Amino acid sequence: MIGIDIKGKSYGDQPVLGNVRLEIASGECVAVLGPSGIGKTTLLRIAAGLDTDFDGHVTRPERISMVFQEPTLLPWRSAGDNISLITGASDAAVEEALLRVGLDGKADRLPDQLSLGQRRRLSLARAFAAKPQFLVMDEPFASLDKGLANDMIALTLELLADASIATLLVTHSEHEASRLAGSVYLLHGQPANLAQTRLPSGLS
Amino acid sequence: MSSRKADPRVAGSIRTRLVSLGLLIMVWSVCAAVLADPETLPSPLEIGRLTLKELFSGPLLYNLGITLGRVVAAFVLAMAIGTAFGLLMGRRKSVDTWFDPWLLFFLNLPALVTIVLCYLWIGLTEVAAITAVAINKIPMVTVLIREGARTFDPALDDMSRIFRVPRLTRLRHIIVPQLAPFFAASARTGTALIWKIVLVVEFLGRSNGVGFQIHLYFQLFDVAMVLTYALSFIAVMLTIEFAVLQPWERRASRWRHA
Repeated sequence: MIGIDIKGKSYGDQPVLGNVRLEIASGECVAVLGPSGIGKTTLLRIAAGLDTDFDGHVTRPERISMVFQEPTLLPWRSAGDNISLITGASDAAVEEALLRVGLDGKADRLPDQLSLGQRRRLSLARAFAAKPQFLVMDEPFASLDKGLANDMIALTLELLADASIATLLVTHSEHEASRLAGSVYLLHGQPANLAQTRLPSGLS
Repeated sequence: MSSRKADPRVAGSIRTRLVSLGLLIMVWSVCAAVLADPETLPSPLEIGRLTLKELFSGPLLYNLGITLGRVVAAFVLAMAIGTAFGLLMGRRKSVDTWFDPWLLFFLNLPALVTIVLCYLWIGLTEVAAITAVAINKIPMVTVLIREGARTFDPALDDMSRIFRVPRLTRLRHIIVPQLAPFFAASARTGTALIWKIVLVVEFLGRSNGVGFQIHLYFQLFDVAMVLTYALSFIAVMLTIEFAVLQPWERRASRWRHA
């Protein structure tokens, strides 16, 4: 169980987050929606443990993975190395991870020799190869065209279905949130607070 | 599969450089012939003959080795300390604010002053010689590595923290590759600067090495021998530049051209 209990977060004199409480169970995917600049990334960084300068408390497990807005790969290492060096996965596990995201046979390619879609897949493969208990996704399908984003969502759903992972998805896309998450929250206000939201029918 | 074909642009560049070098030797030959005074300006042929003579029956090889040893020792020391300071200053704003005035001071300290002070404080020893050279080079390495550390991708930092990448793996596979172009640049400018300072250090306070030999032949007004030792060491350093540093720099940045 992931427990996020933020009483407040400010940058200097500027309060960004107010009271934000969120619990995510194993196997559950929770999405946080909100416009740009509202504090979604701040919430995500606190949840992931990248920002510890806030008032409150977060309970999180040891093994965390993250899918970033950009693929965030090592451009000087091959696709296979990008998984094995970062997650410590064995060669067999790397092969398996690449196969699952449709990158089999591309272990020796450098990231710059892959298309943007393939780099996103590699980033996803790395996140799952780490066998996380908590997966954090920061606008993972941003800047992808609709078709590619739909493919990536389907792939993520497939990978999530096979693992019991608590997932926090931060996005501004209601479509992505409704397809991936069981619960969707809206971050709003100044400083931002959370409110559970009902998505338009047909989306959920 | 990698292609082993030579890049025509590289081949063309090497050809141009060789022609340019040949032109320089030709200008030198013409000047020597016009001047017709071997004691003031000996011809390239004469220098070549003397170099071979000193190499096979004189102390050229021994002195080249001694100077090269000092260059390597000062280089390793300067790169290690400069890299550590550069990383610290590039990564920690407070350290940078504190030590930036020190860096400016040492960058503007003339090499000759450092050398003289080291000899006065430590004595005319090997330690003083190498310390003096390293002190001259450390600030330059620090500046370049600090610039490198400032350009680190923060997203890769976050990624390595999230995935709890072991410290050694992080250093070897995330930090060093980002630093490689800056490290290579400081290594190349470093060797060019260090060997010149080593010659001054030897000139002023050692009893062997190329700098000492130049000092000896300077006192004898022997231009030919001064040129023989100086050009031999230039040849050694150019060989290191083209055979070691440039290939290493190309290898370190190979992924950029993938």
